[in-house]
Amino acid sequence: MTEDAILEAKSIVKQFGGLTAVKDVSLTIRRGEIRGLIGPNGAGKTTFFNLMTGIYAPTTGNMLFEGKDILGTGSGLLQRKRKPYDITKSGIGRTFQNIRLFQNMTSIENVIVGTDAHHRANVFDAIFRSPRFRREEKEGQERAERILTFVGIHKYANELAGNLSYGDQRRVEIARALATRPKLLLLDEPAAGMNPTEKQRLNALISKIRDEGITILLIEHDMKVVMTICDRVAVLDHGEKIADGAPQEVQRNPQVIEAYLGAGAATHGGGANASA
Amino acid sequence: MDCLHNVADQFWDQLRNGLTLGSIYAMIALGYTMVYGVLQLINFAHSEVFMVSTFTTLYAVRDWFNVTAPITGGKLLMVMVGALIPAMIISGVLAVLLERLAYRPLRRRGAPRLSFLISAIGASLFIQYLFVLMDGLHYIGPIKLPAIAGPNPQAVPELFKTSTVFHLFGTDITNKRIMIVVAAGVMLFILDRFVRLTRLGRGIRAVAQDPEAASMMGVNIDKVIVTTFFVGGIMAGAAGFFYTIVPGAPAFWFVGFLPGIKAFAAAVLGGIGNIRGAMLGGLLLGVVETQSSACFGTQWVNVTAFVVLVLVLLFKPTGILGEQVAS
Amino acid sequence: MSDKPPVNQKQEPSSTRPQNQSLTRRYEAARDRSKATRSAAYARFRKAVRKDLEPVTSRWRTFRGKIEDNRKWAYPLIGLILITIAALLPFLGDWFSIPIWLQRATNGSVLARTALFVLFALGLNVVVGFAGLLDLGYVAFWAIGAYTAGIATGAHAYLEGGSVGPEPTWHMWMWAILLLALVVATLAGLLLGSPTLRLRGDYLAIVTLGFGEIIRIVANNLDHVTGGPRGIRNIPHPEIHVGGLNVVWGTLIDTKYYWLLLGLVVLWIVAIRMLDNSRIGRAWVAIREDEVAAASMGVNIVRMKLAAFAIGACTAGVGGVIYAEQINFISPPTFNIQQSILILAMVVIGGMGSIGGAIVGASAVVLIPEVFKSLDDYRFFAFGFAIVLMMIFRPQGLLPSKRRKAELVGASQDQQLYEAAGGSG
Repeated sequence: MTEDAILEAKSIVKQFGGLTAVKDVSLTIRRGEIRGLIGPNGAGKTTFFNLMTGIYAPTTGNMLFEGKDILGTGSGLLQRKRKPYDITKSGIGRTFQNIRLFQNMTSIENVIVGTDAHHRANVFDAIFRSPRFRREEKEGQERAERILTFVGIHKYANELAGNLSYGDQRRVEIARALATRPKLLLLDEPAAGMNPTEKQRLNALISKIRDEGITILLIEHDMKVVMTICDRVAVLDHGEKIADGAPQEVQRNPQVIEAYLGAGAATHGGGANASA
Repeated sequence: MDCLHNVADQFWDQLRNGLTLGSIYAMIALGYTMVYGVLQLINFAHSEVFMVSTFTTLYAVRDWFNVTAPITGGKLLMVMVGALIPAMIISGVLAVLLERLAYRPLRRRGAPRLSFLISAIGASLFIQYLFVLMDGLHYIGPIKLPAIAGPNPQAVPELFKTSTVFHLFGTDITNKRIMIVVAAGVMLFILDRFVRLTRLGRGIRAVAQDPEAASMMGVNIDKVIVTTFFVGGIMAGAAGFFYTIVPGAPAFWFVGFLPGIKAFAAAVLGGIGNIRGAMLGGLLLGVVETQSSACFGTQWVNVTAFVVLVLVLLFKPTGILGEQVAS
Repeated sequence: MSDKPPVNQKQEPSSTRPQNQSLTRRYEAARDRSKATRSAAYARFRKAVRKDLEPVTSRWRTFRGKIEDNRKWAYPLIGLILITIAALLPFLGDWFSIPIWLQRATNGSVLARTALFVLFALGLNVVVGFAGLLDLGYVAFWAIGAYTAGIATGAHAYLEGGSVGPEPTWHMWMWAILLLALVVATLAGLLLGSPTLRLRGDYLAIVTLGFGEIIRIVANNLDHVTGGPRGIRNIPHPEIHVGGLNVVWGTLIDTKYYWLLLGLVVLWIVAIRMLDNSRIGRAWVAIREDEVAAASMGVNIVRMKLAAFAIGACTAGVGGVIYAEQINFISPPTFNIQQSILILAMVVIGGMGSIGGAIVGASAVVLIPEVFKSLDDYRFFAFGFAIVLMMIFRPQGLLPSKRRKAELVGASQDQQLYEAAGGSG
């Protein structure tokens, strides 16, 4: 284990029935970096995210977060699969590729759900409005407001999340993930569907989040975003890691060029990632 | 100690009973499992589809063919076919109607899963009490309901005499039991071939695996769903017919409830959505139930299926043969 | 680049119709035309009505606004007024001359029955409406509460002992037994919920359906514990003797049962409102809306569902104690599956996730057959029908909660967290 690694994925394999979505992928993320994960459509990036957050269990392989196995503890009969909420509590937050906000909650309620991850008030605290409950509610409310201000959408705090614009929904999602106090933040195509100005502001936001001491793993289609802000980039194709290194290095890798200009580039269409 | 003693004593008898009962569970379980495979819906009203079949059988046997005492020969064959076919068709049509009226409007709207389950249980209650009210004394608006059911069970006349065909391991194997097991086997075989080999059957499997992809490939989802309900209904209809012969169940508005829960447990035991699993699960549950009734006493017999269901959910939630219609 | 989830979505994309069904098509076109005409007429009608009622509605809106602005004291005040009105209902017949049907609806025992079912509906509403779980064996927890009372008060032991000596009395133990039943029912809920709630939600429906039946069978078979099919007789009525305060509840028709149950209903409403406005309530909304996202935000799905399930169970347990106390006699056939579905009908008709809805639904389901005695036979038939109609035409119920309405009416994509929840992919 390297000294500064926050997360180490070791030989992760995931099969769905006969289909292997992730083939023997290993990945190291250093503390404090912005790590990119790119690849053409269907390369297995989102599956990899879902494996990291416990939505799926890997067929084989394991994952160390701050040196601790986050996917399961023990072995054989005693093995206990880690649930997504355990993983979130241990410090991994995420957003989703196709925004999954709680549509019928306001923005701030969405974020408060995130702050609840570390709250401990139980049914009795809630019914009897115990001091702990009141302290936590107040703290959650204040922190949610701070986070909304931080991501720049405080003015929409009391709007229903489902009524916000696409770009603002993305920001609420990032805010909600930040509210869970992540040490590692996974962003799944945050720039998708954004215009160039929005993208620029997103880049600024991501850097700002990193400056807060949060490590970031970014899945992105937009090469420009990846090249501008990522410190290191890994490339997946057909579930396999085909390249890993500094952005410029990766960009020159013949295998990567082939993956992007081959079938993957054709299905994705031009537009956003023309700069690849 | 009593338990082991009884089980050892009655093992073959109970195995025989279990297989007969299990054949009926298997036939009902198919309806649950196929609908679940295609729609991910527990069709609570399926037990009522089964219940209606006991009434069809009653009326066919008692009123159309005027059977009062056991019959034999050609007439027996005619009555059997003449009761079984309408029982199957009426149940099939009822299942399709249910889909049309209680589920399809929800499907069109893309309603949450919970709405489907609630609608299903409402439909089940509605049908049950429609039969309670059909005693010739009640009205719906200006319409007087016919006197075909009512609150009390009505015995179905015995079609033919029970006779022992052969002995096996010291157990009498009767003609009725042989008939049920053979009939169930044949029907399940035909259904299995249907789902595996025909175009519609392949459609069912495709929708079960991925409805979106199936519709893009030109599968008519509505047609597949209607077929699924119809086939499930037919099977429940046959099960209802046979249920009046071997356990000798009466036509009764509440007769579907327990076999319904048990058949669902059987479907989960075999692997929900899996047709062969439903057959295996049905037989297995029948056997487990009769053996355990020997062990714990018959008053606990209806608890067994439930305990099996919870144990399966705890230890092997995908069932014995695994999930999904396509395999 | 979406990875296909291992779950089949039940949502169905618009299907292609076969080309050759001209008759069907013509019928559908005609139907659509007539529908359009009707809805246009309806819209005109509504517009006219709205215009005529404008002064009233605007004043109402101002009033509502004022209440919202002063909710700190306005809400408790309104609550207090409503409670007072409810508490005075039994005197309606004494103070005013009222029609016979209203007298039937406001006598002590009918009101007590209504309040009992309001309590049940409130409990089931937490399970079905808040957490989105379908419990079809709710009657089991009612039975557990009732039998806890029957056994803990000594009524069963008295029966077993040949009914010699003085009848058992409850006296001061009443509250202890209420608490005991609460605990027992909660434990039963946790015991049943913990294996099943880990799996897909719809299995819970069938497991609870079976559980309701099991409890009845157990009560029927365990003669020496529950009295078997004979049931338990002589369950004592409650009494309170604290200091100078002496309250003794009488037979079935004693109006004091109504006030007791009304008190419990008020307590429950307050508690449920508190829960709804807390991290627990937020977690329930999150789970209903998107289970995967909720889990990824640190919501402990299983624990939150279990909490809802257990709260529902303990409510029924408490109601069961009062029921046993009031009726004085319990036996297995009372606790049948139809009762579970009847309580579900109350929640569905009133409006899932709405406290007011549970009250309205329960009152309607209890009082309508009470008022129209001749319709009693049609009760289950009509409510079964009503459930289906509600799901099709008004899934949000008569008195919907705003949020729940948006969820139930709009298209949903309630994919469940199979693999993460411990099942298989």
